[in-house]
Formats: sequence, structure tokens, C-alpha cells
Amino acid sequence: MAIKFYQITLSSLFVGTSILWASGKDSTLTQKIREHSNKVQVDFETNDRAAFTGETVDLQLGERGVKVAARIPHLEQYPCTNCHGAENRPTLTTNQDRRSHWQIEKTHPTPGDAECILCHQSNDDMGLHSLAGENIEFDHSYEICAQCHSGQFKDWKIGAHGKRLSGWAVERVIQNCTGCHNPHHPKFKQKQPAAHTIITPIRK
Amino acid sequence: MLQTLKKLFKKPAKEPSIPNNKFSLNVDRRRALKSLITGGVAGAALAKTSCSTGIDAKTAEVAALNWEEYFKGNYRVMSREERSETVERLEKLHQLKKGTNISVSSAEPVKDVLYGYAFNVSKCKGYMDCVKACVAENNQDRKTDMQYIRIFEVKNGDNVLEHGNSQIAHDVPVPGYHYMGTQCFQCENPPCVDVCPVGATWKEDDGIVVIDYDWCIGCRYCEAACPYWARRFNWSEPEVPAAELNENQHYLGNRPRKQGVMEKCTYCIQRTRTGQNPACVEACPTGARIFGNLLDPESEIRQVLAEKKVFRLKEDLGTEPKFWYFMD
Repeated sequence: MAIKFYQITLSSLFVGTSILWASGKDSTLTQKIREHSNKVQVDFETNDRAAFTGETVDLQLGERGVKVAARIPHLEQYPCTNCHGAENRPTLTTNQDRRSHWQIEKTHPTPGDAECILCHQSNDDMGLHSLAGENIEFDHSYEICAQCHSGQFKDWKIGAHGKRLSGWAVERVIQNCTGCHNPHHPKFKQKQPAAHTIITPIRK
Repeated sequence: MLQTLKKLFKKPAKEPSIPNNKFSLNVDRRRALKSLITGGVAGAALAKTSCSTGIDAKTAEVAALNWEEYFKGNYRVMSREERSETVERLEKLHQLKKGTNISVSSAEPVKDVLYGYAFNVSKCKGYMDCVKACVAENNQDRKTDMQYIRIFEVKNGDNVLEHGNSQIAHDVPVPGYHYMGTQCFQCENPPCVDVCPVGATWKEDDGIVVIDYDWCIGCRYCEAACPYWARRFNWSEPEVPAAELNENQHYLGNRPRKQGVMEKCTYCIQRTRTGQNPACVEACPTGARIFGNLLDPESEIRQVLAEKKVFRLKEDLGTEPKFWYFMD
């Protein structure tokens, strides 16, 4: 049967007002966030455990400064004089049970045996350097990874990659890539889950 | 006759706090019941003790504390003094019954804070360090393996969690599969709050949906209402080994529960209200979990919501969960 005129007007009125009503609406959560956002730092009694207590290094990443956990205090094999004497290399003065440098599992950036001097300097310091030859400190080792992994670097700056070491309410402290990734074998390994779940038989 | 009747039903000059208070007594229903039953029990006890040996001081104190606890009201409408009184009683009861000290906090929500959570699906490898940390932090029942967090192992290309396996008993990650974790999402429109018949669960000002374990009657209606299966029920008395008990507790969080009450993830309310991150966020070795204040425009959670493509589960239900998923 033919559609009547009044049916068309009523339905178009209904649809029209619904669209107009819905288009201006944020979800209630979005509205709440928009209305109540403020830049004032929350000021309340925080727990001692919320703050990061290790050494940090101040970095300027773009327009925002951020604290990064210092890496050098955690390096056992740096500087070289820790194991080798001041004058004599490669003779070891301490720690004879340690593996040699060529026994380190290296799968990055190329699978198999990767070139050490791609990231390490070949001088006495064995410090880090960029592909352009600029000196990089161990506390700033992210600069090496950022040369190829710009996507991850961008995410790391905003907090979408990596882990925050301090609580949500205290000053943000993040870590260099090497805080989670072994620079010679960065991929996370397969292992047993830390917790178990109750295994119930599946009823088919 | 009419005069006496009029006097009886005349409204007293000063408006009492109790409506329809025909007898001008300053007592409400709870206090009246308490007095009546106290009298009844005192009478029975008097009769009993007159023919049996006396009870020791410790049992008497436990009984007295339990008595006060039984007649307390809903935590949500308690005043600050009543709240600190009840947490003190709980601490004392634990001391008397178990011999160790705990600290139960009644910390209020932090002002201008709305907690948000983000989960990176590309990063989760199914290691379940979050589950282990959550169980330890929140004093969950070890006997029934109570876990708030569920990690699903889903085949790549499939986006339906129900097709995934949440009972992982092999090395992870398995190539060709991705991992997604669920827990209570602290909805902004929580259906569990709407259906509770006694008002034992509610949303706090900082966005966390909490449960008063002493008000919950265990009807499990909230468990039915939750679209994400986030609520857990204690079918038996929860058991936590004394050595593994977390002593830093919150009344609405990880204090020991009892048989017959509901519980769920509270974003580690005992930690987050003091500025720490939840235990799962801190435990994750891959950095897949991000937590922060949604009302701080420079927080990590806000930056993730702004820069990454995020989604929530069952968006069509309008529950507005404060837990987003994203990929690298």
C-alpha cells in the first residue's frame, strides 16, 4: 500500500530529532572527564612505597622532562676495570668464572652473531655510540634503540610502552629499554605462567 | 477520653529525628532492637552463668566486639567517627583471634581523581605475574583458587574472548595466539550497583565500585548482572595462610572476607588511595598495564587514550567501563 504523507513527516521528524539529540552528546564518562580535568597535581599523603627510591637521571624528551632510572649503578661489567686491571687487558684480575664477551647470546639486530661494534665503541671504554658515531652514555641507552625503533620510542615517551616504576600519584619515573629488554637478546622468552588456574573439564 | 487520645497523638513541640515518633523516645529501630536483645541475652546469660563457670576476659572482649560489629550500619552512610571505630574493632578482633597485627584503613577517595586503566594486548604474553601478585595483595582464598584477573589465550584473528582459553597450563606465549586480561572494569554505569537489593555495593567518588562485605547478603544478583563476569562469590570460608596475609588492608578492599559474601577487584584500593599502583600494574613484566588518573590531562592513561586506538568490551551495553584495551 502507498505510504501516507503523515507517515513520512512523523518518521522524518523522529529520525531528525534523534540524530540531532545524539550527535551533540558525549558519553557520560567523557563528559565527566572533560568537565573535571585539571592540571593541579593531587596533593595528599602518599605511601613511602609509591615513590621510586633508586638513582634517576633527568631527561628532556621534547617539551617534557622525565626521570629515568639510572642504569650505570646496575651494570656489573662496566667499566672494564671492574674485571680487567687498569693497564692489562684482556687479562682478568677478578671473577675468573665469568663468561667471556664472545659467549654472550647475541641475536639482535641480526639473528645469529651480531656485530658488537654496531652499538659498542671499540676503544678502552666499550661505551655506546650511535650509528653516526656520537658518544652515548649507558644511562641514555634508549637513544640507540630509538634509531631503529622509532615507533616504540614514541610510545615509550608517553607511557604506552614500558613500565612506570613509581606510583600513579608521585613523580613519573620510567626506565631505559634495557630495564626490561636484554639488549643482546631483547625478545621476551617463553616460560611457565606465574600462576595456575583451576582446570575444569570442558563439557561438549 | 478524647483529651488523652489527643495528647497521645499530638505532635511533640520539638521535631524529633525519628519520623512518626509517637512516644517521644530518642531511639531508632536499630537501637531499640539492640537494647531489647541485649536485655534478653543479658537475662539468659545471667541465668546461665549462675550455674556455670565464668568466661575469660579474651572471649568476653571478642564477644563484645562482635556484638558492636553486628549492629553497625552500612559503611556508605557511616560518619567518619563510625568508620574509624569499625576499623579499630576489626583490627582488635584480628589481634585477639589470630594474634597478629593488621592495619585496616578507612581512607576516603582522593579528591579530583577518577581512576582509569589501559591494557596493551600486543604486550601481554600470558605470564600471569599479575594474577599471582593480585592473589597475594588482596588476601584471596587459596583453597578455591580465587582470582580476580582472568587471562584469555585467544587465537590470532579471533576477537571473541569466549572462544579463548582462560585455563592456561603450558608455557607462554604460544606463537599464533594473543592474550587479553579481564577483571572488574569499575564501570561508570555499573549494572551490579543497580541490582543490589540491599545497597551493599556502590561506586565511590574516585570511580572504584566497592562492596561492604558486612552488609552483603550473598544473593549473587550482582554476579548475574555483571556483563564481564567480574564478581566472585565466597562459597566457603576463605583461607589465607598466616604467613602470606597482607597486613595493609582497607575496609572496602583486601580485609579478610567471610563465607557468603561477594568480592571483586577494587583496583587495589588500599594501595591506590595512598598513591601506589595496583599490584597487577606493578607486577607485569612486559609493561602491558597502565594505570592513572583520568582527570589529569598529562597522565599516562590520558596520553594513551589520546594517542592510541583504544576499545572497551561490550561497548553497546552502555556500562562505560574505565578499562581500555589497545594494541601497539
